[in-house]
Amino acid sequence: MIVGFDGEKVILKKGDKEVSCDILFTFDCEDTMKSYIGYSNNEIASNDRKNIYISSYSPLSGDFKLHDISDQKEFDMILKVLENLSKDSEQEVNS
Amino acid sequence: MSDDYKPILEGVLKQEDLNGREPLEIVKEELLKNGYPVSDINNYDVIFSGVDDQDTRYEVHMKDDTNDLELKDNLKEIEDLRNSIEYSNKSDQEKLLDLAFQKIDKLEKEIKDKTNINDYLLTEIKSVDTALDKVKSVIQEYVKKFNELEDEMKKIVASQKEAFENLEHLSEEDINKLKNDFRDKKKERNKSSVSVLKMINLEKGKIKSLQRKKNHLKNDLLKAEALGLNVDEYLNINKTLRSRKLMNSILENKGLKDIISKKSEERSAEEKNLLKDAKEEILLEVTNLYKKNNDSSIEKIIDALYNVDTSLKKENESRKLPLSVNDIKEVRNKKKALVERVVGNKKKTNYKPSKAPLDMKDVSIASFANNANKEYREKLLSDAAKKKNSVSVDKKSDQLNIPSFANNEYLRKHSNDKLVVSKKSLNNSLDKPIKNKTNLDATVDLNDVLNLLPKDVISDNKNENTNTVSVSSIAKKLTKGLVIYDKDVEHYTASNVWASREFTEELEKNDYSYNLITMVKETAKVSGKILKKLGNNLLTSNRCREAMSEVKNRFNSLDDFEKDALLNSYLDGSLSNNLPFSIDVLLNSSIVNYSLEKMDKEVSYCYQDLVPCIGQIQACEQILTHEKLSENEKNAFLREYQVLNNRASSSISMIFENRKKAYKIFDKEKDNSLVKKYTTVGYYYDKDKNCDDQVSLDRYSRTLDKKIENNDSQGIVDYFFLVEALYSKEFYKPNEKYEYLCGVLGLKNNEDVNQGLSVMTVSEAICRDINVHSLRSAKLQNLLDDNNVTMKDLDLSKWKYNNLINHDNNKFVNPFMEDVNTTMNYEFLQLQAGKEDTNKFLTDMDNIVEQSNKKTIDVFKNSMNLLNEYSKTDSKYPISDVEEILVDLSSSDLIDDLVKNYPNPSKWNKYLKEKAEGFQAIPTEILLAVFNSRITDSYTNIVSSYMKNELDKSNDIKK
Repeated sequence: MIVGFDGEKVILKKGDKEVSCDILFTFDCEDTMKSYIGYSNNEIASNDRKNIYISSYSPLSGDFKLHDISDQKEFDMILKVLENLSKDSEQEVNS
Repeated sequence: MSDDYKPILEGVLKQEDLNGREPLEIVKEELLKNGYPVSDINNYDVIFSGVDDQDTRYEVHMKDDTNDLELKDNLKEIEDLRNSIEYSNKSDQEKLLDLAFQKIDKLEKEIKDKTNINDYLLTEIKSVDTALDKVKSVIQEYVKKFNELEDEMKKIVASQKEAFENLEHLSEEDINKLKNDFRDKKKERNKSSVSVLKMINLEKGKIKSLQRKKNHLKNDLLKAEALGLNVDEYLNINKTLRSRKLMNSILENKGLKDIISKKSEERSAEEKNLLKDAKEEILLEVTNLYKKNNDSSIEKIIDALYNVDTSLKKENESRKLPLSVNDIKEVRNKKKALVERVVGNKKKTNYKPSKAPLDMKDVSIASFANNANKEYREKLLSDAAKKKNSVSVDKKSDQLNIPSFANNEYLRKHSNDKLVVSKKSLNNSLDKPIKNKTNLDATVDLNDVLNLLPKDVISDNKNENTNTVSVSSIAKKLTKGLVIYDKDVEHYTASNVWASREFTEELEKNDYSYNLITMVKETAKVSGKILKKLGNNLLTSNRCREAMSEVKNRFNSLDDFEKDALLNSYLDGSLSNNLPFSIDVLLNSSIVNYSLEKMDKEVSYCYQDLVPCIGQIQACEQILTHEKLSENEKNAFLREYQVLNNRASSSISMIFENRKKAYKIFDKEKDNSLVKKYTTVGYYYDKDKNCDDQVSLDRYSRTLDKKIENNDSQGIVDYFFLVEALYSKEFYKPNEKYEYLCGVLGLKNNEDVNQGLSVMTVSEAICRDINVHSLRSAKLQNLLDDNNVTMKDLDLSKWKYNNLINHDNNKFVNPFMEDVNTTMNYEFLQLQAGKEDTNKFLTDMDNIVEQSNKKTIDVFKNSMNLLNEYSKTDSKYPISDVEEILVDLSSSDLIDDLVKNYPNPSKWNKYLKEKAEGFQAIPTEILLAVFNSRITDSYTNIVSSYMKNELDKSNDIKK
């Protein structure tokens, strides 16, 4: 089931400034019981690459907060999702 | 004498070595050094010959004669004797000794198991004596024989001399052989003699050791019988008491500090007897109590009887930790500083009060603790009544006048009289007494007191948790019948992937490369709506949703032991090994919540007990420092002081145990925002906050840990203050009362109100300063000296000198100050509880101001009457200067300046300097009385005016 997030924003707070980020993609993972979200303010970093921020969210905790990702296996999963997105340019991908 | 005649000793004496002594004397010394007996120097021939003018050569030869055969026989006999003792399997005396040792060991075991000794055991001990006597006689025989052999050896060596006088018929080779034979024999002889002697001494040592052991046993046996104990019990008590530190501590409590501080050899016979009697008395006291409470440990009994730190019996290394003078000063200063910081005097602290969390409310510790203790006391008394053979607690402790919780100055002055606790904790606490704490005020059955040491209870719980509950069995219980996928060890699988149109187009065009940032340093926010959508996606699987919900319910229905087991497993990182990964993730938040609630409850209990206890400790310190106490009273207070310290330290230990656990949880669960802000009893356990003095805090915390580990009560309390003082800079939430008041009154800035309300503390501090710096009237003292009357006499006589009648102004003023203080606190509480509106509150405040103003005028008048009376008897008394000062103190704004700008009131300091001489002529009591009344006046006035103004402003805004 696909749910769209077009038009929704994630707000990043950098110092005193608030930066609005577009939501690029989302997916779930039953293994970790978490959802993941990728977002970007379209900023180009000094290495000429675009920054994509990725955070996780635990619906079980009910705190509605985004968390960092520190688990290598989670990171690997994100890479696979992006690879598949690049390959197929499809909206729904199973990795 | 033949040239070949070999001397047994030879050498050269230098002139400078003689140093005025006889050459023969030095030769005797040399003989002795080489193992020759010198009791009779006539047994030797000593020949001196000059080398030159300065030096003298000497030779020593033996005189006695005997033959070679005898020599050989005797040497053999010595050899045999040595072998029999040193090398044979067991000589007779050794066998006897072994038997005696075995017998003593056996007896020792038998005696320990018997409640009463009997004739049989005493007979057995006597038989050991007999065995010992036999061994001794055998040894004596050997000694005798050895001495005889020694005498014979002298003769043998003498014969050597003779042999060397008839060497003409022998070849040079034979002569050399003979010489070597004699030398070897002599060497051997010396060696044998020494060995035999050593062995005999060793055997004698064994006998002595056996004798000592036997005597101790006999002694213990007889003493145990006299005390009505079995030997094991007696030895247990004695062993505990035998620790020098512990015994000294008890003896100090008994007022024998002066004697025990002396070295043993410096003590007089009388003092030694006194010590001996005291030790016997202690033994008897402990024994008597032990007989009535023989299920308690000796340490607990000693603690109950003498209130000493029984851990002293161990060599407590922490007490040897170097603590610099500065550290100690810092401890004391922090103790004072904490109070001021908590009160919120902005001049002394950088603290800023913040709002209490929504789920918290104010609780009066005074009523709280009293309620809890009342119930607790009733429980103790009731339980005590049920018990037979109960023992009353030492009456001395009942008679101590340590302020109780209700009227404790500490509670009144410190914001700690209000703690913020969660409603849940409060409800739990009010329902039941504070458990496992001793109550000082109750006369209780000592059995109960002894059995109520919290540490035992804690450790029991821990054992129970870990021993009886298996995490894997709980895991089965949680997941039985549910379809839950095990952790995928290879990789995680994504589902429900969605990507924005713009992003997929961008990917198609392949215009960019990307940096993936998974550790977002910046704070990221997203609307809850999106996350709810995400969560819905995730939980679209009915199977998953139901399973998760069921697991959660099952967790809630686990009992505390099972939850504790999961918690411990979670903390040591083994939980994920025992549970499917997804269950692990789900349970984390439940476990953390459970843990924090539990800690909140425990910490609440501890603080409820600790706060009044610290107040009592400080009261005790004050009493011990300032009051005139008899030796008995002092000792009683010291004992009570130790008990309070023990009690406080046990609460502190538990608080820190919980605090550490909380930090551990934060470390593990830093991604879980549920635990990011854990609040309990006035403290934020928030890892994100930094302390100004983090380094000091770490250092003090580590030291506190060690103190807790070593059960050093005094150290725990001291370092608790240091740590808490540092915590308070960032974390401490002070009394919420003032904030609440500000809220009620619509005040935006509450700092001034805090300032005003803390004036009472300030005024008391000023009075203390005056006492400390002693502005006693030196001039008056001089006048008194002229009449051979001291200020002390005068104070004691209540100023009845020369018809000078003391109005006892302090007695007149102090109760008034107390009344004002109590009334103001009462008014605040009424207002806070909504039982009084602000208009009524301010009207009451006006009354207080009026009363305090009137009181100041009365005190001034009384004081002046008193001093005028006195000045009539003393023409030199500077009554006009004194009057001027008292007028200034009573009516000018000097005291207002002092109160507002304390501790650096410039105007006041200047005035004090100018009028120093006049001040010295004012009797202390009068000065304090005027001060107290005027400060009270100023204090009430400031608070009242300020609140009135702010209320007016608030009303204006509303209009």
